[in-house]
Amino acid sequence: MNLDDQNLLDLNELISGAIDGRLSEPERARLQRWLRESEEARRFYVRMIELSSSLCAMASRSEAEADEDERGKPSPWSTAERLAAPAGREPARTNRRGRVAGWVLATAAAAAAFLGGMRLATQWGRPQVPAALGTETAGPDQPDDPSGESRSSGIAILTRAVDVAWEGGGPVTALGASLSKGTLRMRAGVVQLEFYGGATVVVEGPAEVALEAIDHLTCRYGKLRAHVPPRAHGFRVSSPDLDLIDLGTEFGMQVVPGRKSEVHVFDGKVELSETFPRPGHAARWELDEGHSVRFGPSGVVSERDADPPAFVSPVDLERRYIERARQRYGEWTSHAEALRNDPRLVTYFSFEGDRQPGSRLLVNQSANRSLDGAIVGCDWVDGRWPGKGALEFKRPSDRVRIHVPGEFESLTLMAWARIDAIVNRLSSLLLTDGFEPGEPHWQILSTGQIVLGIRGEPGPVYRWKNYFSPAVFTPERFGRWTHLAAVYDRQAGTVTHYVDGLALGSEAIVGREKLRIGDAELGNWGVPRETDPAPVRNLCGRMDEFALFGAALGPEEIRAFYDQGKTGL
Amino acid sequence: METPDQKAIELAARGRLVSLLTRHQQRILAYIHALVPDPHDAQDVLQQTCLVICEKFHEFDPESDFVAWARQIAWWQVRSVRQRFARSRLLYDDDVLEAIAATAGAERSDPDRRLDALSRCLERLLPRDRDLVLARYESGGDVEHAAQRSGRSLQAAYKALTRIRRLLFDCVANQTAESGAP
Repeated sequence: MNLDDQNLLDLNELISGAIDGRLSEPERARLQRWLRESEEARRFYVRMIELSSSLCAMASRSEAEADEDERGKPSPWSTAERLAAPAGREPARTNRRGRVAGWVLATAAAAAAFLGGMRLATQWGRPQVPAALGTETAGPDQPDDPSGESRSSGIAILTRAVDVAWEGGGPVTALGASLSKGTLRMRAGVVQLEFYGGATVVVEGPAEVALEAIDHLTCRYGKLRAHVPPRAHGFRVSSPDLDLIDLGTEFGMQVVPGRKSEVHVFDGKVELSETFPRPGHAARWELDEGHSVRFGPSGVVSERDADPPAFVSPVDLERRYIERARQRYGEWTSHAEALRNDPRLVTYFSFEGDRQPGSRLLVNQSANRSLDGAIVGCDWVDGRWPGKGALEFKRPSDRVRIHVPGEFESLTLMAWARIDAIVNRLSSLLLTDGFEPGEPHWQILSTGQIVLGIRGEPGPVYRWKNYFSPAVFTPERFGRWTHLAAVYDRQAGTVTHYVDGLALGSEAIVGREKLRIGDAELGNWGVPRETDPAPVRNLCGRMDEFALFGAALGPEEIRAFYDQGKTGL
Repeated sequence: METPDQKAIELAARGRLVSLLTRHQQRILAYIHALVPDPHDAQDVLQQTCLVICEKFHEFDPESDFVAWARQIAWWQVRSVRQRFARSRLLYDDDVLEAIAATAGAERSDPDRRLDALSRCLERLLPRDRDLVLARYESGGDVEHAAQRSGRSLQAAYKALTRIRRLLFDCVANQTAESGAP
């Protein structure tokens, strides 16, 4: 049945009546007949209804914006941004008649329920983590904690790693990562673990060790050297052949499966208990400083002198680390030099150069020297490697003021940053001062998500379009140098977030604005205001590289930048 | 005890959920609204639907079609709240509901383009007409209140809304270069 103009008029009347709830019985019957009998009528109906639901969205947004205007505070937050803030921190918006704007309500209720602690973790399948970092769980679920404190199940920190090849491929963990109960498996390299109980252990690969507790380690094979300060006495290391309890202060252990276990005591003494006690011998005995014991195959035990040089000590490791760091720093420096000549580069801060405390200039390494950044407050500190320059952001006043002229169809923002904590609702990476259409805001939410927000045209729709990543800066990542990139690709019509060279998914671009930056800040937000003081948006952490390209970089390029700049340790 | 990895995964899931809901909320609402023509009732059902989506998100296969899955949940919400809407009654008989659901479920278009066009079309309305239609759709708004604000009688407001909806519909169709009617 084809619909002619008269049919459409009739249908339109009926549909309008249905929406506004004023259909008489005969009208209702007529509408139902149309819908029942004609696919074309149904399609027209669905599209009219869709218009109506779009008007819902439109009306809610214009309410929200009318409220903003009333309070005189522009809010760059979309609904989802507000919702992503921890539940309870942001009150729901109300319109002038005091009822919650419907649009926010629907998802707010949902998100609140979700954020209110529904235990997803127990319902997920086995998480996909590389084999080298185990996910053995300790036991039953944690009982509910009424204090609401965030909890960590970490028992040791990985504080050094040099030339490590992890079993199972790719880097599974990075410096500063808090490790929970689980297994570390390395094919090669040296790592240093600092246990929460106080012991420091250097492990040489090939090795497999299991972290059992804050004061207990199992060595299945490999070499380790432990330093145990007085308050950590009692630190325990288990191996296939024996159990060791440290009585202070320093010892080494080597396990070669099927061939031998050795224990060397360098300082103080340890208590050993054999898994298979020899007949006629005490199951438990002490080994003193300067001595070593070797359990060969078939239970043969021999004693000899301790051999300190055979075990990498923390001091040795530190030396190796510095050597490697110097090498990586040198490699990065040549890449940074090459980057300066990239024609797409608009702004590039390498954070090198004059880093005297009095120096308040952040030199722009790209062609336009006149567009250097002005440092306010931030201290010069170490970056990814000892000696590499970085700026530290910790006080609400810390910021770097920059200016980027020009308009862009596409844009790539890139930075190396270390987030030490999230203290504000939003933490700035790059925030423009003003509110002109096309201005980007690149920042981190308190959920750890990264968001790129683009200011839209003024009007009843889209003050801001925000593009979110999944949660990236969770507590496990605090203190870790991370490569970040956001690519706004006008041609492909997508926005993509990258972390450590990996794309986190793309979203379609909404809006037609050209991007522009002008006056902006790194690590903070400088909004000139006459009335209210500006919201606090300072980053809490360090930044040691920042680049802005007037073009969209591809995934391979981003990955290459990550590889060139990763700490490599 | 939850490992940091599981916590990270849970937080990532949360982020994905918020992202999916944000992106597709409009599509889900449009589907519900086709089954429940009263806009505020449709909002209520959306809210319920979102709660269930959150509860069941762990069942959702990330490779599959979120909108289809969400619409499925919405369908059952509509069916199960039959009793609640005494005021506006679930308007349609079961077979009509199913037919509408099938047609609405097949909609694959991009709501963002339409919203964009709609905002431009709204600007082209006479201010009095624009105020009327936005007031009608404001939360807590109904036609009576919108009519008063716009200085019209109730009947005149009904007529005006019918006319305005058609105007907007044609305007948006032109802007997005789709045919409004077959």
